[in-house]
Amino acid sequence: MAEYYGVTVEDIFNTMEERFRPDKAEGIDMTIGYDIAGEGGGKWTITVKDQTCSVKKGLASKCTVVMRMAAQNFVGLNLGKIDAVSIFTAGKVKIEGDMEAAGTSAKLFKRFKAEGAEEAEELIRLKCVPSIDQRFATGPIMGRFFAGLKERKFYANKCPKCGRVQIPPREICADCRVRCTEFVELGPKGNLLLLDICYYASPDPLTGEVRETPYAVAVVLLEGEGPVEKRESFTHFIKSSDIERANFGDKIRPVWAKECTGGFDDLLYFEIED
Amino acid sequence: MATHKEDTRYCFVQEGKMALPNQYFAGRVGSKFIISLRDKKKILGVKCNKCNKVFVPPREYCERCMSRLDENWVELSNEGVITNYTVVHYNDKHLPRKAPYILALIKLDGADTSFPHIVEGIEPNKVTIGMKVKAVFAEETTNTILDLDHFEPM
Ligand SMILES: [Zn+2]
Ligand SMILES: [Zn+2]
Repeated sequence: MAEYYGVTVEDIFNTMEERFRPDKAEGIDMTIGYDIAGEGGGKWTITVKDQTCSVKKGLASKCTVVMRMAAQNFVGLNLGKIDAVSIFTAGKVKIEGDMEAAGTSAKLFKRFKAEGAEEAEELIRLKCVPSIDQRFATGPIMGRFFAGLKERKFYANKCPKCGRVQIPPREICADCRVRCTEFVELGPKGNLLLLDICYYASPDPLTGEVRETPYAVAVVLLEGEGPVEKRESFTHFIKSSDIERANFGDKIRPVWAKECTGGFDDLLYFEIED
Repeated sequence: MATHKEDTRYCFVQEGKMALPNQYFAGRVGSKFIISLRDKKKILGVKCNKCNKVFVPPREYCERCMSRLDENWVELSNEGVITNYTVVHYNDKHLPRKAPYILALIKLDGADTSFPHIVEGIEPNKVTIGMKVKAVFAEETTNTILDLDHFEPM
């Protein structure tokens, strides 16, 4: 039987009845289904009613909530090796049915203790997601870029001196330091130059939620007039399912939000054009 | 002097936010301090026998002689005096109370250090240095320093 952190999925379910806390189950009537994927996994149903608890193999036809997750994550959660909040926000636990019941179920059982393991000293960790509101004044140049997104167009600006095309547009040419007031349209299609694949589950600064990994940032060269060496590349996400098959030079196209408002989230990502 | 008139047709404001998950580890000493507030409604400190000083909140080492202190716990009174204070006049969603509220330095009876906490039950303009206060513990605990909810005048 497959072990994770030295414990099998069965060990957890086999001890559930004895770890049940009737004092926490007053007035609770629920059926919790578990669908555990991977080696050592399987299906179980826990019924809590009248302050008693019973565990059966298989999935009952009518469950208050069904939770699906990988065996390793299930064991990790029960041992406290994996943080519940992170794993839920990363989408690694699928919950069908009553979300609240899923939360309640965690409180109904004493923590699983592997044989011979010492009672750990309680240590306090505080978790919070401070959210600071921000306002960003676009100015006339970057504002033109955002206004373009609203029409699903990419606007760049061109240096009157050296002819470089900058995207996103900036007030002055980074090389010549002169004002660039001429706008040109690029794309919307282009070619992939490189991918920066990220395996670290960094938070999305707009929500504080942990991103699904891997995700990739694509550097693309959008189509346009004039010499390639005078055109800046542009950076945005690439569709997750395209990461594996992406190659240098692939033709890409933008995927837009259903409604474009002239904001950061109008452009969702680029995808490879087949 | 002629002023340059900027074309503002495309000037607008983007709303956004910066939300970053944070984690603060209270440490072994800090955890014991908070757990005592939460479960026993008692305020713990540590004492340096060499310097004969009692520190609240507790810390692992004496700041004066560097002796290790985490084996030498003492229980303090729930009463003390205000040694200094300020009144917070602005609101922010991350602050623990709505403005205006009093943030005071409180030296508990038996302690040699003061620590900051909220004082309630008195108008901000009535608070004075030297005022006697007592601890009020939280009904609903949160595993934080706010398990000691606030101090109030005696
Ligand atoms: Zn230039
Ligand atoms: Zn000392």
